[in-house]
Amino acid sequence: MAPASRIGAIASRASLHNTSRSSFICLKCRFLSYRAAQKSNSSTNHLPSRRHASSFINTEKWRKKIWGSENPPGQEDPYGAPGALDQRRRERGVEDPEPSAKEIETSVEDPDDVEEDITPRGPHYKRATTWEGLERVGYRNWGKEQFDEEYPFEGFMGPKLESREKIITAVHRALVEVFALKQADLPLVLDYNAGDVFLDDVDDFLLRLAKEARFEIDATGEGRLVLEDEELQGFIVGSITPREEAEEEDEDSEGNMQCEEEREEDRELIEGENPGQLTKKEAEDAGHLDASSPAIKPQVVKIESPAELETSDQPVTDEIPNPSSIRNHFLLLPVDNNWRNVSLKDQEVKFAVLKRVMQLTGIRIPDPEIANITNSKLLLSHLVKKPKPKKLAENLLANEVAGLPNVQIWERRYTPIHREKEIGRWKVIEQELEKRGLPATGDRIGRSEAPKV
Amino acid sequence: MATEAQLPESQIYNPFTPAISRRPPPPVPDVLATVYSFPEMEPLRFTHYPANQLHLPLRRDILHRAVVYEASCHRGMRTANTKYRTEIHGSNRKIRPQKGMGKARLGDKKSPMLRGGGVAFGPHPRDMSTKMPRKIYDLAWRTALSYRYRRGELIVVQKVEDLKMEDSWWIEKILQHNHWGNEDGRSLLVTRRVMPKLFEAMNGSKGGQPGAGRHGRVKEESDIDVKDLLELGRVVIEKRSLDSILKDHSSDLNMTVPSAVYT
Repeated sequence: MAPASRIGAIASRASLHNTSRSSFICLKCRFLSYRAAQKSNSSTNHLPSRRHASSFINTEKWRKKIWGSENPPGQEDPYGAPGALDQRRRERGVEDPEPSAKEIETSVEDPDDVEEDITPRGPHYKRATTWEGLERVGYRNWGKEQFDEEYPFEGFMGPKLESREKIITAVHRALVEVFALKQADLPLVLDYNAGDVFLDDVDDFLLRLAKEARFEIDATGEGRLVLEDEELQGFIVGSITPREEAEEEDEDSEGNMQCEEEREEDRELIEGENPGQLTKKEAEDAGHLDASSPAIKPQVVKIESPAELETSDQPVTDEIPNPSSIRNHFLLLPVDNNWRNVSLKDQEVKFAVLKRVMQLTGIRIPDPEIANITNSKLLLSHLVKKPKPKKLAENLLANEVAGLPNVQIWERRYTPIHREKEIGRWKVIEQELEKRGLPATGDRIGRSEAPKV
Repeated sequence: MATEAQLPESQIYNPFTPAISRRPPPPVPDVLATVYSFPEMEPLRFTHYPANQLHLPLRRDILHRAVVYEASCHRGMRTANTKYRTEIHGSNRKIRPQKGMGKARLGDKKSPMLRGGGVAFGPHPRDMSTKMPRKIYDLAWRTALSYRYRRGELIVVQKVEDLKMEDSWWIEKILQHNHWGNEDGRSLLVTRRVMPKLFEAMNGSKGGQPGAGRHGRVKEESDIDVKDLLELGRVVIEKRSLDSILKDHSSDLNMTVPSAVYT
């Protein structure tokens, strides 16, 4: 309090003097003295600080000169009074949080703190005392993360698949799709929507393919896709959405397209808890595509989740919300193995299949190997690697050998030190060696010279 | 009397008929290459190249010769220089008479035997570049490309467009997504022309950002060597550049083969 009172005395003296006449006191000193005086009078604490120039200098004169009129526009005290935004907020009736007297008294003597208390941030503003829940800024790689969020890069190929079963189902799926397109006389390569690749509920689609899609091999070696269900072909074709059309979602396409509202309704239906059945119209639309001429693009509804399922066979239907976590991927493997012998000699078919497979699996097949791929078996061999041969140790541990009472299996080489440790002598040996200043571990030459304990 | 049969045209002697005519060479099998889009790496189509361009057997000796030849060309002048006795500053006066002194005979004092004299066979600035038969050099080019192709490290892209921003973070993203970056052995991008933003993003700028050099390099088609093709983990090349390189380096491929005409 002593310094405050002294400054208070200076302040009172300063206020008596006319600023234009006598000794100059800089703004900072004036501000400090004013604040000291303020603190001594707690009653005035809740008022906004009048530390700006307008509190000491008559700004009215200058404003008149600048604007060149007796009544300059703007507020009377543009610097001292709260800003226009705050005024408007007040008018709207939002209550500004008024800092309590207690908070001010306990605050540090910093101008910044006082500024925060005074400036209203909103009705729910409460200053945090810990950093929990606050936005983190400026940590390591923060800048890069911000950049990644702002500029994402999506390549053509999806994330690389590791699982053998997933790769096999991807190849089968690609084959089915391409052959379905071929048999529908449609262009084999479409702009596959990349979003199609990452859908989890694709599992039901795959399950359906696994059960219903079969291949027949002719005498010549040509493959033919045979589907148990007629409308499945339309559905398959429908599930490959061209990229541009998916973005545009154009209303002016003729014929088979549903209007946007209907489509949205369908989507809500499908994405809901219960996997909706394909509406009749969708099925019709999908079926219509078979009859469509090659000129018309297979413009369809993007069906994100599966069609009607054979409810009797699949009890898993009820667990749709998280299919991938529950379902074992072995179930998705195709039932019939004829698809492995499907010929890929036709360049168009080969290209389409390879492109789709690369997109689904994320694995790029090098150019020199592509020429050697003549059927899907060879294609698989380039994608799926044989499992690594197990190590002897793994094998032994898995056997009953490990369980035998007189057998020990060690990860590392069994050394004399291990032996000594088992017996219990090692500690003593180590201590004795240390006493003599000799190394406990080392090469044979050193150890043989060490005195035997 | 039997009428005389008319001889065929080729047998009628004409001084302007070439003695040996040329026929097209025997067919060469093709190899397949996929053309991708840049930078998404979407396969666009299959294309074919003759095997004598992209499927040559590996000839390490030819590659070695080519690399050494290029290095010598890039070396520039050897700048070490010494003065020969004729270049030393001094007079040509005979220091002492030929006979009668009882000492060795000496001419001027610039002789290399004397202190302060010239250097007898010292270095002089010279061009260290060597020569190499063009056909072998072209074969080396195509051998290098074939080597890359056979290992699946030659990626043909349709066209490289300039990036939307010269930030090296953006090109790093692309490289890492496509597995072309530092962890995968680094890549050489070859473009037809200089693309300012791409080049700055990869190679950095003077006084500016360091660039994504740890992930690879980008070079113009006219700026690359056999050594560049062999150096990094893979080569990502524009199709038009590849075609142009193969065309420029096909001097050893006979476009027509001589054949004797037997009648």
